[in-house]
Amino acid sequence: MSDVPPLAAAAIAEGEGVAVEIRGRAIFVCRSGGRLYAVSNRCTHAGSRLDGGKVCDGVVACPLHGAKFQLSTGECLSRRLNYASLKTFPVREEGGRVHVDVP
Amino acid sequence: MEAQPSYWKDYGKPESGSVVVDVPTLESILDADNQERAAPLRKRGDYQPEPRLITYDRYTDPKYVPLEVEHIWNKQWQVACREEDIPNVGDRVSYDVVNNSFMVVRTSPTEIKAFYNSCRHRARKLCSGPTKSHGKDIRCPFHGWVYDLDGKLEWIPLAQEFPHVDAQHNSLVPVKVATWGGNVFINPDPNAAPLEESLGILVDHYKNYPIEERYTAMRILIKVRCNWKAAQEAFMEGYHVVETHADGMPMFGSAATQVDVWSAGKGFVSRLCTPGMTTDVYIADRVTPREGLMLYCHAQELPLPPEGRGLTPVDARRYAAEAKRATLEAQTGRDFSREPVSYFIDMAKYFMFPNHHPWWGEGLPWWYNFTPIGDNPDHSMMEIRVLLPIPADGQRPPVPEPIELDFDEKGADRPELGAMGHIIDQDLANMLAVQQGFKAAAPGTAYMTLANNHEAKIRHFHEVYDRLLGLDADEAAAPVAAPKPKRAARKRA
Repeated sequence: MSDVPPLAAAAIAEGEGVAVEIRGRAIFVCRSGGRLYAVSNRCTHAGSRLDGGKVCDGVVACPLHGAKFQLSTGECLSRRLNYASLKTFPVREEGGRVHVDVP
Repeated sequence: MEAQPSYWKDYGKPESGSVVVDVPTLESILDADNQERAAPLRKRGDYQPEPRLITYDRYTDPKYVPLEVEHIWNKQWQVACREEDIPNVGDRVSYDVVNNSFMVVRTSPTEIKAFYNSCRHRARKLCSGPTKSHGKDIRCPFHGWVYDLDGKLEWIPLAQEFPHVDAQHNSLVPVKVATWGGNVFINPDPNAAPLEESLGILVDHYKNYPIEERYTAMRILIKVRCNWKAAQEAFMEGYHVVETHADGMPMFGSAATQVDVWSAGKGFVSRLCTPGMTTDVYIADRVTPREGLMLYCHAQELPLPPEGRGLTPVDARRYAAEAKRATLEAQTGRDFSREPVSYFIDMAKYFMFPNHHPWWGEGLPWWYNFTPIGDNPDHSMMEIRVLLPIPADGQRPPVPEPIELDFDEKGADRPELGAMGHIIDQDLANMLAVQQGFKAAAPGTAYMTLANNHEAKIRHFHEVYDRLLGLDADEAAAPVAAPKPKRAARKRA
C-alpha cells in the first residue's frame, strides 16, 4: 500500500477532484456527497484524464466526451458503448490527510 | 478571370508546435474600441454545455432521417422563406425539407399562410422551387382543382364526378406560420408553442437592429454533398479560420472568437463572434495592423486608408468601421452615426435551433439556412443571403434570382459572387471531405473530439438533438441516485 504523497484533505472540496501520481499510477481523487473516492485517472473510452471533469452525485463525467463513471465501483454508466470500468482504490481521510491505497 | 484576386496573399499558417498564450478576448477588443453604445455582444450567454459523445453515425446513417423528421422537422419552428420573397398577394414559394413540402402563400398585404404542398385530389405538389410563382388562386397543374389563397377548395372540373367532395373536408391543410425579423417561420405541429419561445434572446438582441428592415441583396443556394448538421457545423466555430481561411488571418481575429450559449427555456440559441479587422494572434508578429487593414479594405471593397491610418490595432478597426459606415450611408441614405465600431466590422452569427443562422451587424451581413435534401443523409442545401439595410426612402429592392450552385460546382467560377466565391469554396471543400471522413474513421474512433469553448455551440446543438430524438436514453445519462455516505465508508475515514 502507499499513501505518497499525502494530500491535505481540505484541498479537495465537495464536487472537486485532483490528479495525483502514486507509484507511477495516475489517480484521480475527488469528493462527492462528502465522501472521498479514488479511481484511475484515465478514461476507458479515449484515454483522457478525468481531472477537470464534473463530479456530482457519486459520478464523474469525463471532460473530453462525457463518459460517466460511478465513483464507488468504477462502473461505466454510458451503456450505449459499454466502456470498461475505471479501477478504484481504497481511500481514507486521516489526520487531515488523504491516504490512497495503491497495491 | 483570375480565380484568386491578387490581394489575397500567403501569410503562412500557424506553425506546427507554436503556442499562443494570452489570447485577446472580444471583450478586451471592445474595451479598447472605447465606444459609448454597447453592442448586444456585451450580453453574454449563461450556459456551458457539458462534454458529450457525438458519434459520426448520426451524420451518415439513414436511420436518423425519420427520427429527425418526427422530432425536428415536424415539431420545430423553421424558416421557410423571407417575407420579401413573396411581396404581392398571390405570390407563393415551396419550402422543402426531407420529404416534407409546404407552400407558403401571401394571402393579403399583411398575412402569409402555409399549407401542406399536396393536392387533395391526387397529391401533385401545387408549387415547386424556392423562387416565387404567382396566381390569384391555387390551381393544381395536373387536373385543375382550384383552391382560394386561404386554401379553401373552390372548384373542381367535372364536379358531378365528385358528389362526395366538399370544401369542408377537401381543402388544403394549413400549418402554423409566424414571422420575425422579416423571416417567415412555419411549424407543422398544431400544438407548437409560440415562435417567441424558440427565438429566446434573439428578440431582445435584435430589438435595435431589426432584420425586417433589411432586404435580400443576394441569394445563393448551394447543394452540398454533406449531411445538413455537419454542413452547418462548419460555420458554428471560428476555430477553422486559421487553417481554412489562412489568407484572411490579417483581418480575422479568430482566436479571439467569443462563444455564447443560452440555457434552455429561452430557446435553443447560441452565438459566436469573431472580431473583424483584428489581426489573428498567430500572425500578429508578422503582419502590421495596416497590412491587415489594406487586405480588409480590398476584400470589402472599401476605399484604401490614407497614410497614417491603421497604424495601431484600434485605429485599424476604427478606420475600417468609418469606411464601412460612409459606404453604407452613401448607399442607403440612412444615418449610422450612433452605431459602435463593432457594428460595422465584427462578425457575429447567432444560431437558432435547428438550422437558422442570422448574422448581426454589417461585418458580414449574411443569413444562413441549412436543410437536408430529400432523405439522403449525404445531401443538403446551404442557403446564403446577403441582407442589406433598405434605403432611407423605404423602397425595398426586389429579391434577385438566386445564384444556384449544383453539387460540385465552384463559387470562384461565378464572378457575380465576388470575394464570397473564394471563401465559399474554402468551406465547401471541407464539408465534402468531412462527410467522407465520417465514413473513413478507424473502428472505435468514430466520434467528435471538440474544443471546450470554441466548439461549445456544436456540443449544445447535440445536447438538444439528443434530447429531442430520445438518444439520451440509450446513453443512460441520468446519473444513478447519489449513494448516501455509508457508515462503512465513514468508519474507514
